[in-house]
Amino acid sequence: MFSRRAFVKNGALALVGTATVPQFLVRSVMAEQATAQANGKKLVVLFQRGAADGLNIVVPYREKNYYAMRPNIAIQPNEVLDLDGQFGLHPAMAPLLPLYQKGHLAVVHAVGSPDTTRSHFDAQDYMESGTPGIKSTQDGWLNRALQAERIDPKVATAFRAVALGTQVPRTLQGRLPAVAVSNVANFSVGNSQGAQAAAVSSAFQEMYAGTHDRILSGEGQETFEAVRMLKATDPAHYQPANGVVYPNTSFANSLKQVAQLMKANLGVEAAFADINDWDTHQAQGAVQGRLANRLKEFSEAIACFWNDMGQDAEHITLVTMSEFGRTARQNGTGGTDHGHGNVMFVLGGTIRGGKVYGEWPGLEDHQLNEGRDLAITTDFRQVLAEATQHALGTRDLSQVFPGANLGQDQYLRFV
Amino acid sequence: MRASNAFRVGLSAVLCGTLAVPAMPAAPRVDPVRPLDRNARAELMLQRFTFGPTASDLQSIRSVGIETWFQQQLNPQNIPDTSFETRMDVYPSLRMTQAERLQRYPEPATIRVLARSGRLPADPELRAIVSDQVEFYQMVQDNKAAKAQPATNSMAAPMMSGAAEKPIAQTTAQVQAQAVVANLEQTTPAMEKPEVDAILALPPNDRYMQLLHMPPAELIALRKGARGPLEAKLVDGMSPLQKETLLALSGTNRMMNAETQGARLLRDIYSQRQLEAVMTDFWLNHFNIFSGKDGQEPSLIPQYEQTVRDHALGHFEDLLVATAQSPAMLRYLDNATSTGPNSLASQRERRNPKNKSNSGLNENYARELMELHTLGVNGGYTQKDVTEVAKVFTGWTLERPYDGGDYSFNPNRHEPGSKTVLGKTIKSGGEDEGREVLHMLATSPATAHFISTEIAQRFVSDAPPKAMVDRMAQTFLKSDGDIKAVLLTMVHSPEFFTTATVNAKLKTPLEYVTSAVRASGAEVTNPLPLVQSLQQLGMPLYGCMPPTGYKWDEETWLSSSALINRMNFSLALATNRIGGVSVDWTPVITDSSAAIMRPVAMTSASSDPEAMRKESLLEAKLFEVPISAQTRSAVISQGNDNIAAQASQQFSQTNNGHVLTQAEKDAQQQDKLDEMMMGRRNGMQPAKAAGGVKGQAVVQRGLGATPAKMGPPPADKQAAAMAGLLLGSPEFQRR
Repeated sequence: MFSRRAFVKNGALALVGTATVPQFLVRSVMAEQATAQANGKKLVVLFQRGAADGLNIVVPYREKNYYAMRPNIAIQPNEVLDLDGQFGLHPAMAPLLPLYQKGHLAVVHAVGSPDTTRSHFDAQDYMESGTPGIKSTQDGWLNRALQAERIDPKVATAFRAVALGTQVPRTLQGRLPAVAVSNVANFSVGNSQGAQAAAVSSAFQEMYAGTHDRILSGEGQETFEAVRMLKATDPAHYQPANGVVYPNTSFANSLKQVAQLMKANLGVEAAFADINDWDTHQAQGAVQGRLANRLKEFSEAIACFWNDMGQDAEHITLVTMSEFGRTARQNGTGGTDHGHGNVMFVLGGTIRGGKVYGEWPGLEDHQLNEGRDLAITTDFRQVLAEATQHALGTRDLSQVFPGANLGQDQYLRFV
Repeated sequence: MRASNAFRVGLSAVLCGTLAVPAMPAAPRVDPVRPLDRNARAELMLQRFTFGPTASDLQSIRSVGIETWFQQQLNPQNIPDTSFETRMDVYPSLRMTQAERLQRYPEPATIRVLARSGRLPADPELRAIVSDQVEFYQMVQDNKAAKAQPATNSMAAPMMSGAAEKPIAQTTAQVQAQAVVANLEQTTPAMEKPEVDAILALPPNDRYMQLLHMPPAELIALRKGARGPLEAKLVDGMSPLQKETLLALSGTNRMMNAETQGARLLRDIYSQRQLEAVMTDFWLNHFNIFSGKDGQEPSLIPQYEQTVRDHALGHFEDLLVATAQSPAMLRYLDNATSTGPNSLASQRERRNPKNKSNSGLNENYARELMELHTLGVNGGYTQKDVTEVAKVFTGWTLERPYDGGDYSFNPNRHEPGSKTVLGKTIKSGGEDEGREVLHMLATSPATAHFISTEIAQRFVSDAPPKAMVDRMAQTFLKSDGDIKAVLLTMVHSPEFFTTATVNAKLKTPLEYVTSAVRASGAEVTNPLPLVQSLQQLGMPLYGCMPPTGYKWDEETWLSSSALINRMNFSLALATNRIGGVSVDWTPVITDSSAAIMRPVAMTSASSDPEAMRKESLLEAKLFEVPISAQTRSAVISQGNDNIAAQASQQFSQTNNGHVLTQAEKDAQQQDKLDEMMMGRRNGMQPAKAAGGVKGQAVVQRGLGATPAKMGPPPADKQAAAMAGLLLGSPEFQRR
């Protein structure tokens, strides 16, 4: 069981093992406590960029038309990993099946954005801003969700919102500072060993603190605080728990580092990572092939993350998204073009998983969106809202998703 | 600048609207927008239209004036560029036509075809090059067969020299086969030294022919036996073409990726035709392609880059048509395989019931053509237009690679009948339909506005003045998309030469790296480590997977991770810790002619006059405009030996406390570069990118890679560290 006493004993303070606890560590401990008081949970958001083919990820294997429309790329009923007698996972997603069976993994099908764009750029932008159809939105939905949380700004750490990669994604851009980390072990200026490191770092720190360039100055201060905090956790010597060995892929590496940051008690509340290359216009394959390879990488990494988090997984809510689905029919080149409805996953220790949520619109020709794509019956914001409320305790969702219809009657109740 | 102004304008509105807004920090100094003086104009020109000012650029722009300088740059064919062209001598394949290149260095798909058909080129040299790759491909295939059919006899054993003589029991052979190809590099014994020495003793031409005719396994053995400095000796005295040929034995794509990316970076750094280089970069990003798309893409990039460069300062429609017909784009956005559902080809296919129909319409190019290349996402087209445009472009494809791989129109794949695009009827006309649509798109006001906005965002600010963009769009329409005219309208706009433009742009990683190298006067002997730095900074060349290309805005490129990477890069560059690049600060700090001391912040504890003198000279070398007193004082007070001693191991390698010898470091560095050129980045499947076989280790067989040695340790560590701090300062992040 995770208690506050146990945390103080085993957490950040114990890491330092000294009476003179640096102020920034005190802040991180306080942040953990404040967050724990509020809800005790963390949110992980994963973005599959390029429009993942939801119909081949969670396969509606009872639909005759699915097989008629996808003669070469369909997953056969005897090949799927059955979920509920109606839907089945792509066989490359075997690592996630146990999580579904244990009730940790929930599926939401026929979900997506009410905006009809089939542009990757616009659709990702709308999903990340959380305001479909509105281009003028400046910040990302997850940044607003954290802003909405009632937390003393003094205890918020530089790692409260963290993105894996060289850039802060649109989802996390906004008033609340977010930190981008591409490699936690290299996250320092100069060589991290020894006292001399301070010299380089502090010269840069002085420059950035003193500059009249307000934007660079702010970014610099965030950066150096994050460096100091991370250094105290000895990031170069991370050992995943429970004998987990992450595959050597960039996405698995991202999730490994999310686990590492969360376990280091740095005050992480929200983490973001993405995985590319879902734009399968050509030769996407069926049980094997290009999409199968992506799904294998995707599933293995998530399963490793879950197992690595061990007991702490209980406090995590993880949600996956992709900008839109793909055409219900295969195209002329063994792939699928840009479509509409898609599938999302929600994984968590306190999720009512083991179920496929959402109203199924069917795949008969007349049931398709514009005669070509899976229709949408659930707004993606509904899924994000319930996950966010659960993980961050956000009360006022109208701030996070302005203009969305998120009434109680719409709730999927997967939490 | 932008934020400050926005803040001032928006302040009263915010105060009226919500009283709950937290108190802002002390109001920043907001300077009114002023026009620039002569020097500042010259500096701005260089910051915008080069990859970073150099001392000689400044000299030349001052002597001829900004107007003449710009006119010269707009006509690059008249600017001599021999010094840069000489640097290209080491890349013979980049001077070949695409057909020559594809013949000499066949791409993986061609190797597969040749392996099946057994038809090898008649020319003995070409035959040797190709047969090595075919042989290696067959080794891997044999291994796959052994894996797939456990009962059949394995053919994998003969690849091991020595083990070939005696037959091995089947099961052992299978196990070995799997291990051998998976770990060919590990399992092949290194060639003995006397044998290596015998090869080294041969005259260059004989040596070349012997290396070329070596079977794959022996090449691996040799490469292992000759690691380190010996490897470079293997190709001593050979011509650039011979060297390149031996390198290509590691796989065409690896060699092509290394050459195209290295050459592009060298051009950005050293070409005198800076505006052409900058605009080429602009259009390559606008018409983005991705080297990891498939095994064919790398070989098509040199021609694509040349095509874009040829039109970079020409007319937009010519550029649009050229990209539409370029093999690289036809592949990247899948149009090469798009086939009309009612075309002859489809009808034939349907008549054959055995045929698993894999041909039909693909909308990818049609959509991006309108969304990203011309009209912009709000350009007023519908899904119906996308489908119709896709039909228009059916049949726009390319010849088979071994037939030259150029654009060709295949009428059999073209969708018959008329089409309707943006309300206009396109009469049935085969290839001409596509030209008509491209003309329609290139001359649309939406395109004029979309392109003008993007140009202004790159050259003026993230949110450029609307009046300026409108003026540029007008010029675009009036001049039939004359790119030079649009640039001139931008520069002649009253909004351009003002304080609002100065430093309005955060450098992208490419601009950051090139400007640092150019300002420091560094000599690049091997560009690949810099190519690698770009990747670490999040902007690999030809490495942006989505068709959107990279963004130019501050929001995208400013993050903690980015700042840390930039600081580490600047320290590594200044202290000669980046392979293949060397910089010498001695001439700078011993220059007695130019020492104007600039003011230091009063908080500075240091009064070391020597440190102040060096800082002053280094600052004058790297910055035209004085930096802030705070930055200067930080550089002076921290510019001590300690920094140089431990400046940035980040961009080289650490190995858990084990101290590496220089040879080991070089070897590690080389492996990293090889891996990168193979395409192991951005989560791409390395085998796919390298055109290898999925799930198989890609083995290094090429010889004689240019070593990426680091420059000598700085003579004056203090000066080098100070230069590193200056290059990593807030001032150097902007342009």
